[in-house]
Amino acid sequence: MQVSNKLTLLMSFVALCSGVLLALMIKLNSQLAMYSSPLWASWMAHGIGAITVLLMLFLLRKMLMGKEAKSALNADANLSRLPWWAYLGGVPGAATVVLAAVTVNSELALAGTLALMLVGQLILSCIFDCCGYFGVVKRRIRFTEVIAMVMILLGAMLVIYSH
Amino acid sequence: MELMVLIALLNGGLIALSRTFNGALAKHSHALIASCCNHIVGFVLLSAWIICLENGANQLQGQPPVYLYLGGVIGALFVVLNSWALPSLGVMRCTLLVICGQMLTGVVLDIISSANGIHWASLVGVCLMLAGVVFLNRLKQPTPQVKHANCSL
Repeated sequence: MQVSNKLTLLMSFVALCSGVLLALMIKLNSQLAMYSSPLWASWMAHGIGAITVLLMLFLLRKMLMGKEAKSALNADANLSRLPWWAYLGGVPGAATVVLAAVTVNSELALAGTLALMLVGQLILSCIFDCCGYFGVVKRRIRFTEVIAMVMILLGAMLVIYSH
Repeated sequence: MELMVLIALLNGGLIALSRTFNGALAKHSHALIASCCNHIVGFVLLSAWIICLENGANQLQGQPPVYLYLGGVIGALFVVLNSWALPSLGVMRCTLLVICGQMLTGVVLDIISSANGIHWASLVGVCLMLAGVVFLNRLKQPTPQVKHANCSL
């Protein structure tokens, strides 16, 4: 229990850090979009991102090979089969860009779009967690988590609409 | 208007779906592989979209400074970290923490870039979010753990 608690804390920190990166990325991409269009900026970002990861995979290949071989030894049989849809994360990711461009230019503007996207994210996240869809570990959402969710959502709305 | 609200909500759902897919792939292989697949598939799709809808809007006007292209590099790292953390946190917790990190950084960037300070409501929002994160991590029992949380980064 102690170990998993530590892991949860570490992963919470990692998730927070990824949020920091996300904000920086959005800032840079929106500036890049001013030179052409959001679609073009995102296309460019995906291309550069792909090159970056390929480069990282190439540089770290020795380390990864060693780790992979080790983890393959004690992996569960049911985990070793990779579902086909797991490769398709880029599809909804790319669609997001196009749809966001549509709603930002409507009456919703940027603030409304951001707020509604946060709500949509959280609704579907809860559904995935509760039902255990797409390889997610099925679990009940606790009451304290709902309170934390409301606090964070309210805080985010305040930040978005105070602009 | 209602249609736009629906599209924006659906769009948020797509984000959750994308991250869940990437998390599943990271659980089975590696977070770097997940980020790689995500970006290559996204790049191919957006290329097709731009080619099909070529109307001149996607032409480059002027030369953007080189550092703006770093958004792609940062985005790649974002997907790596996010797909690494998602399997052991659950989608909802992970989403909440990403939102917090994102909003807090946004406020900090605003403070840095704007001369006349920030709105008080933003500060209240920041406090609420920080309290929410502390609350989230004060749960007695951790989330059910993934057996093989992929810690090999």
